[in-house]
Amino acid sequence: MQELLVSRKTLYDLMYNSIVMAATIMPSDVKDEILSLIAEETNEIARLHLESTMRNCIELGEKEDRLLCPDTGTPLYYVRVGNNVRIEGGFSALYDESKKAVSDATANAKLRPNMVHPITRKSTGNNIGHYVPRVEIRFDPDIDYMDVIAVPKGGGSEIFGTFYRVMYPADGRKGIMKFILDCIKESTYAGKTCPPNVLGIGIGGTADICMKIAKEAAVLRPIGSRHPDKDIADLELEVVELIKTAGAGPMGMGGTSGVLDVHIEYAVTHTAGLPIAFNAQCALSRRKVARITPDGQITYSDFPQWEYR
Amino acid sequence: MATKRLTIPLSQEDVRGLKVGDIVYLDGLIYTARSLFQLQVVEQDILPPIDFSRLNVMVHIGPVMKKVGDSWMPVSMAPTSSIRFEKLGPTIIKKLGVRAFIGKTTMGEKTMQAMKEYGCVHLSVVGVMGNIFAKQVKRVVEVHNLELGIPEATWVMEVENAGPFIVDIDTHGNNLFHQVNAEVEKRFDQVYEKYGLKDFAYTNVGA
Repeated sequence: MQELLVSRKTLYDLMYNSIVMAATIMPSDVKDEILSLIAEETNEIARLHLESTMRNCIELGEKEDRLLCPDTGTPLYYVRVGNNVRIEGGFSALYDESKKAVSDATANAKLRPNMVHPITRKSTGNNIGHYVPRVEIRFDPDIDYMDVIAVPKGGGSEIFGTFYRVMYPADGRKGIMKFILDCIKESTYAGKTCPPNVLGIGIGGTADICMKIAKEAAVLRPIGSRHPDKDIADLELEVVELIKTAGAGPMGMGGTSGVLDVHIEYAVTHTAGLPIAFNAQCALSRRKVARITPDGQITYSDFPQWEYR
Repeated sequence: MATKRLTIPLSQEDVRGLKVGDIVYLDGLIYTARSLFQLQVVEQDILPPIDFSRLNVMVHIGPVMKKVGDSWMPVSMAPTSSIRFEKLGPTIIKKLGVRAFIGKTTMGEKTMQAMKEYGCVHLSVVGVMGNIFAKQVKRVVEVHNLELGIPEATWVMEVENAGPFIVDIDTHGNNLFHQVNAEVEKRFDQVYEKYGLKDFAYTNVGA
């Protein structure tokens, strides 16, 4: 495999450009899905919400280089890297350059300074601090490139749309269904999570694996993608239909178009327990992939490939 | 469902004439508020030098602002979730004489009670509207509490034909989300029934 050496400057560019593009350009699958929801929706207020969102993000957003939403959230990076990749200064440069990129994007008003100390509530001013930005790294033996995926994860969906529970084997499928329904009811009320949402559900693993796969299912899987396991894929579609029928709608004001997609992931888990987690993504589902290949070419896309099954 | 264009300061009559589901556009001076400013007002009685009898529309928002030369301009302005300020709502209405909150989501029972009593409505955003709202700002008049950070500062801005906003709490004790949710709850009940979850209880391993 041809070696790929990424300079620190290039790494910085990948991280800066991907987070800025994520904050300013709507992913094409999200656009398509919102347009098809508008076409199906019969509730007048629901259509007004969706049409206003599109106008805000396309005519007044992308075309004028403005933010899609001022809540640019918490900066998250997911880096998928082949074994042929080396980084100038070593892999820890991922952490250093992510901090520089986020700090600069904040100074340039492409990200809002959201991050504060959790107890004193003092703003760090530049969106960086302990553990943030998050940089999640996956080594993939089957690829010869590096993907940097940027996700500015909005506060509404994160704060109002996160739940976790440890159930037990006897709770089984009924327990799973109850948990999912309870979470949907609670989180979409009054539009707290900015519906239509992508909902991520993680089943199994440990507490942290469970929440991690739920979040990654919500923020990284493209709309319309299905889990390869047919049982899980069927459940995803079943839950989509349930949400449409329940009719909380966009921003919780009624209508069938309150969901973009439902993504379920599972991890093998300890025989004694059944952990389950829920994490919602907002209507904009902001994400951008920057890919660098061994020939030095850089391309940007809306479609991460992240699953590790 | 009526559409109304109102001028700030809003009068008692203006807001008592609104009903849930009405669509509102606003002209005049608004000010922004998040947690820190409201906590200062409620807990420490610290008020910025604003004439609250003229400015009576509070926007729950943390705008993205940019300084161009000597003046500030909003880059993006999308109202945030008002329900997080529920604890502070009644005191804020009483102390500052707020006639309308612009926000997202809704507010709780105690604030709804104060809204009925003092004459105040809650206006909700329509979709994601950060850029639409930013374009409706004619100028930034002044800023207070900038030391709290840009999102938490109190920005006074002049807006023209700002909106659309939907009245989701009126002065008659109605809440649009309660109305929608009553229907949603009924449909969820049928779903719980269908999956045999009516009497389901999670395994309890507690005391």
